[in-house]
Amino acid sequence: MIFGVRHSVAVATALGTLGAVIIAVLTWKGAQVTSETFLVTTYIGLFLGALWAMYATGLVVVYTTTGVFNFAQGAIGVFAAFFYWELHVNRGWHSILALFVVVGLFAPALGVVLDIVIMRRLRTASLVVQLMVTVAIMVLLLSVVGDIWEADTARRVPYLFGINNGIDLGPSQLPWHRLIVFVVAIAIAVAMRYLLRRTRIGTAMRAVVDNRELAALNGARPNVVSSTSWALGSMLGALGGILIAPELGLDPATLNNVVIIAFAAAAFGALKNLPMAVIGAMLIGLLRAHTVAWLDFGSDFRFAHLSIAPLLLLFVVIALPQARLEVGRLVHHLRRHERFTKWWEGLIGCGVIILLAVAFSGGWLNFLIWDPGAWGSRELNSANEAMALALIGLSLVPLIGWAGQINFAPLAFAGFGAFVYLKVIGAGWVTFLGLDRLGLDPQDIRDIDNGYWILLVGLLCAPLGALVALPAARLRGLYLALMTMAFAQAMSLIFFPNPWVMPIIGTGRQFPHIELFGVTFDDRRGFFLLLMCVFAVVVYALVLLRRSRYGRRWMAINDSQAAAATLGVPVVWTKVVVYALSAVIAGIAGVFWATVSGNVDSVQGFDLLIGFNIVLLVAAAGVSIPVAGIFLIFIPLFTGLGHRLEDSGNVDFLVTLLDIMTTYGPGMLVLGMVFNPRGAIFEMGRGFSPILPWRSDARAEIAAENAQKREPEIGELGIERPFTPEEVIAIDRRLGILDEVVPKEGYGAARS
Amino acid sequence: MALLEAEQVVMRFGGVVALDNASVDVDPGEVTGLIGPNGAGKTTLFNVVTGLLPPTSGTVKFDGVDITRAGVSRRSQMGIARTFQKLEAFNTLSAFDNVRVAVEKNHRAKWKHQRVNDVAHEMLGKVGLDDVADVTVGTLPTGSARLVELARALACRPRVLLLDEPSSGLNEEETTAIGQLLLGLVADKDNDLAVLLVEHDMSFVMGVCARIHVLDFGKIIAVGTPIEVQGNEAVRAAYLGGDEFRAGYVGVGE
Amino acid sequence: MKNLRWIIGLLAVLALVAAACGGNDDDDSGAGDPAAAPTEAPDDMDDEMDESMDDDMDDEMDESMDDDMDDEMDESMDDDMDDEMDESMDDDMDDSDAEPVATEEPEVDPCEAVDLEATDIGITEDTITVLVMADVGSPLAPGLFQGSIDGVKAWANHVNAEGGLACRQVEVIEHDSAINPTETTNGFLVACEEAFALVGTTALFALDTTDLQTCSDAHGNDIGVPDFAYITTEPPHQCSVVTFASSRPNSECPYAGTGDRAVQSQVGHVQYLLENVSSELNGVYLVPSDLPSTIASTMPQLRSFQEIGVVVDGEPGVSGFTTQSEYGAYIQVMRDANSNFAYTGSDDQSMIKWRSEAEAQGMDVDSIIWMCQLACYTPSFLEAGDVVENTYIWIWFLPFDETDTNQELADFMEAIDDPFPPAWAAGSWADGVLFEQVVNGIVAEGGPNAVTRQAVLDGARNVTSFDVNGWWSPADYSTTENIMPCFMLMQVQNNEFVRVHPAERGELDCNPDNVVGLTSDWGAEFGG
Repeated sequence: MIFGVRHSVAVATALGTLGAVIIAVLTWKGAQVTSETFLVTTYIGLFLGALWAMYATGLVVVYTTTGVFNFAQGAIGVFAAFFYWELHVNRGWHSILALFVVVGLFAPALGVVLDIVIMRRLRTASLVVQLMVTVAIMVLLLSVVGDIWEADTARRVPYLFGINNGIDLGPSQLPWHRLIVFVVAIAIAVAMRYLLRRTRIGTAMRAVVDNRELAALNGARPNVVSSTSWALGSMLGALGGILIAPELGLDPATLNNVVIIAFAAAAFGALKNLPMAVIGAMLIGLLRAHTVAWLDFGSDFRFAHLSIAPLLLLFVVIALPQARLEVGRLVHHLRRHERFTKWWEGLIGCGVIILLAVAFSGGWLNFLIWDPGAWGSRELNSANEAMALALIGLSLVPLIGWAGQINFAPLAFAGFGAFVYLKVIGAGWVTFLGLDRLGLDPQDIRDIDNGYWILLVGLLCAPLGALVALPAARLRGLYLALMTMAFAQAMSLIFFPNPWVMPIIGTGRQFPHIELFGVTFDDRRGFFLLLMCVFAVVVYALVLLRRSRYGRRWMAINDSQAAAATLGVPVVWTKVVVYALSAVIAGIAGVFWATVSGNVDSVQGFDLLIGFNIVLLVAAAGVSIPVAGIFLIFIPLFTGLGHRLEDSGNVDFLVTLLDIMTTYGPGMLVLGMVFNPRGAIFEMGRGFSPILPWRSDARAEIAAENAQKREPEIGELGIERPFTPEEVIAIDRRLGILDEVVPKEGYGAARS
Repeated sequence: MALLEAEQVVMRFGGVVALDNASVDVDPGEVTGLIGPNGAGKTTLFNVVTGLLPPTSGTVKFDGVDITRAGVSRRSQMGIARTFQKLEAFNTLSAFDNVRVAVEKNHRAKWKHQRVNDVAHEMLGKVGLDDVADVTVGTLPTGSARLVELARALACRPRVLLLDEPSSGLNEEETTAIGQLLLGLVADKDNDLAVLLVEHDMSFVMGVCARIHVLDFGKIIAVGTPIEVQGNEAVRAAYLGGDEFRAGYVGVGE
Repeated sequence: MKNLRWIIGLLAVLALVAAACGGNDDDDSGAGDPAAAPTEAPDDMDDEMDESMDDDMDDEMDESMDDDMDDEMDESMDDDMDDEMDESMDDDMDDSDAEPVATEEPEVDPCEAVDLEATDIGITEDTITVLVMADVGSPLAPGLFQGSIDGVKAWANHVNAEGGLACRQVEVIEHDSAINPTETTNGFLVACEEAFALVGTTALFALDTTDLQTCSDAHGNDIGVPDFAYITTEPPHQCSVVTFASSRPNSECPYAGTGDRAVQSQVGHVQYLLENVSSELNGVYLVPSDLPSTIASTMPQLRSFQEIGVVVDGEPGVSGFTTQSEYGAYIQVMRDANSNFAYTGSDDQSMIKWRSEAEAQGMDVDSIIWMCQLACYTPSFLEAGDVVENTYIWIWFLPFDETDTNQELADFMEAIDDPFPPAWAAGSWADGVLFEQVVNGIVAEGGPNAVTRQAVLDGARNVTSFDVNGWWSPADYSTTENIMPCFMLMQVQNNEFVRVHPAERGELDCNPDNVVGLTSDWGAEFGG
């Protein structure tokens, strides 16, 4: 057992099982349970589990051997499935040949290229950068797929082996295809485990991950090893994609989402234990198949069966034994003097934001754009949405940028804020709390300018942040990322689609226009100015906060939790505070975000990918710098430029350029983090600040930086002799890989 | 009774025994040394004492109180401060802010901004880092970063200071200065300070320590004055006879 | 999402600048390199199309205007039409603003007599600008409803080739609503400011139609902009007073979004099966359950089937995330209940997965009547091969291969230049034809300078029977509650769509008994 017999895990498992049983009883469909239906449902579950196990195996192999958790695993599968369709269906190649070309040639090549071009450079990068870069690869791969194979026709990939023949099970049958896939998935998992644990290359692969230098001294070739890992992981992703495509149909988003199930499975094995990951995948498959067969959740919880994987992921990650505080992690940093934004610099900056907003919304910036004249409500509408998203992005600045707590759920926090706001201004709580009997009329509440409630909404969101922080406080790095991702996904599947949360309305606006000081911000220009003022205020508050003891403390726990704790900083409480703050900002931002369009699309509006995009965007711009948001004011300007160019239709070259930018820009931009981990705005600031007359320090710093030399790379050493078994064990211990033997190390090794 | 006592501490990582009934006691007013080959368990012992690792068995007592189950920051508030062998400075903060984080947590909250700053400057002054106060620590040389950690630990107003190889990365002159600083600190009765020092630089250890514990394979094999320890056969064997491989790799818990 | 793309694209630009400023010219910054050559050439296409149109311009004009409307409609109706229907149709034709154009003397050219004016936003002396908005540019599903844009462009080219509309040339602005509420609102805003009307709207997330319904015309009246949409999925769009959808919502308006709503449903096809194929139908009905709007629009149909005697063994929800093997659960339900009927309210892919799974489970698929609606009328459905054989499909217009029976269909197929165009291309073309008919009515009455948004809105609201010149089932645009009464039923036979009922080519079954009206809280009806 990976967990060992641990009290907390036992309790958590018991509670989870109990909860599942209660849910099952409450939602029992009442269908007749026959042994045949049970049997069929079970084999379907196991088959689905086998497919997900294949993805999970790839994830685990890559993570164990390179230390990088590959968010792009699903996207590799998507690309491979489309490529296979192109060769086999569209061009009529034989399936075996197509399979060989895609899985045997293309996938490993892709893996090796990814490794050489990108992944190797991530070795010493911070986890934020590592995660963002693999997410960026995911987005890029999906963009490429969307560009090559347009969505205007539906495509189908046939089953690899016959689906219509199989073992007779009475009235039903078990098709060969499913049996073979199941066997292959298990065989692959067994083979990978053997490879990693019993062979020399496997030992070398595991050794390289935590200590290249050591492994290299002992004869491993780090670069060969990491390329092999990526090739293997990529092949497994490709095979999984091709095998699952007939089940789901060829739709990039749908296929890509499979990866979340694989994440849950991998987490079940603590990201390193293959057998447990396979068992986790099977468990999810069985749960899902039987849920569909026996349970009935009604329209309010219609995505319940899809949320099994994210819920399990959430559950497993939270139930994992507490990671010990890590010491001794090596991160490369830019050399510079610390310099805070002075309070007056912040004021001037925020003043500039507001002036720009006034100038822009007043139409006085037209000299900057292609076709002055036609700036209207559409540009302002886009500008409002962009600024609301930027405001949500600001919530990540203290959380990710300073405290280093990765959060993929900013949209869930924002949506929660919007939900709270709806309920608060709806005044249903007056009756609910019995306040009407005390003489409080709900109508009085509704008559109050709704804008005043926004601060209250922020405060009410703080507990949600704190709630997320409690499990988060025990988790580090990757687990935290996975937990917040699972949280976001679960919210988008269970919470927001519920009509009680986001009521469906027949006409007009779900979210009324903001009223403040007797003014109703019902025109887009006024609302834009309001948004910019709020934005400026939040930025300035963050600037001040960064200078405070809280700012320092958050930075401190980001740099070293262990050291912070030994200095007496209460780590858990500090994290709770920063999460609560983030939730407050996101909640307030959510109100504005929902008010921009007036109606929130409760199903797709909270899609995980949009949340990913916000995080990517903010990270790429420079997540530690609130002032980075100032530059977002130019977004509507550029958006307008793009539309103008499209409309005028006579500058094809520029349109194409902008199109390429918008399709591939995100991925490329984030890939840039490999080289500029602190983000684009930071680099811009560094380029710009020496021009300011009072910034002699910046000029000195540039000079010093130029003088700095790059650190030499570790050369490759040849293997001169095989590892002896003792060495293998010793290296395992040193690296904490023998998770059965050293359980704590297994989790501690989740890099942060 | 000693100020800090670790009694019969056992630390197992699965099958690997990092600490095997190790007992260490530290008294105020002197520097106590803890030496041993790589992987002997010195850092593990530090982690157990500061609460970063819960021991498999055994107790840790501070000022007579059993603190084996106390949290890390609780122990810090009681007066246990430490530095790390592998640097754990707040690399993105300036040296000054590194110290300020510690000052803020260990002095009364009512303190005015100015007073916090004064204390922080004083601590930096003690280790001689006045002139790099506003430099981001991640960009300082390793030796200076170690001194930042030391200043940070001192800012906690510790009663026990655990130093993990403070001299590595320092030149001879700086090492001597550190030694002087330590001796000065423990000699000052107002501080009532105890220091536990892990160190590889033998002349440094022998120069500043009143007593030395020797750890090998997780066991305390000798305790005594520098002279006694130098003459101990088991110690010599541990240092000279240790096989290269173990010395290089089996450093669980480092 | 589209916005995000722009945002991110912008940041890419900033990053390039930053890289330059910071002096870090690493390899990644070459990413957005302009090296790739521009490929779009929409102008060329337009030209080609214009050329091909020029030739048969005059003939077609006459044909489509004179003959079609009266003759074709009568023809298609003859079989099943009863007196009531006949009456209402006759009334419509007298009242409708659109009709007089048919009786106008073609020799008199109204354009010669007047000086053309810019009568409203989007109309100049020589052009009428319409905006087509469709969900096209989602990063994950680019090209989704491109067919709508193609359909409107084809219609505009066709109209222009025949001499234009209200003596002016039709110009088309495209707007990509990107499966995104904000971009959809933006589309409405652009239409308000730059176009005379929206034609062929195919946007799934028209959640807020306030701007659409209230923006000002050139005369300062807040009357909104006419929206000739193809589909209207969300209640705010269905109940918009300026929206005229060629795929009728069939639902009560105004509607609060929750609670009871009266909805009409077409059941003629299932009635036909009950009468001619199997006197008893019991089976499973798949509900597309991703969106509240898809649930609300499919549940009434299911209940209507029950109303005429179909027994429902199960009504599970399916989504794009449902794997084929998960359809196994529904197969088991069918087995246990001995079902002989299987209907999907979802798309062609759901039917393919369902039938594939049935075969995989060794089910006797021939004993089941499989049925699907317009969503299965696609080439990709046939590409699934043997597995979809015998599936019944019903639609409410003449199928694309019957060009010989209807001139409008023939014009469409020629203009669209696609042997099997997507349904939304046809729907958007139909929108264009309705717009054209309304405008022509106005011109006939008040001349080419009478065309304003207000006039178009009034005209469209008075159209009580429009059938795309005999190609589609007739529909009443004066109410949202009137379903199109006609259908035709096809079956996949030997991998082709084969007409089953009515047997005669060019015919639709328009029996008024085809329609069942029910009232319920449809969201709550769904069990899941």
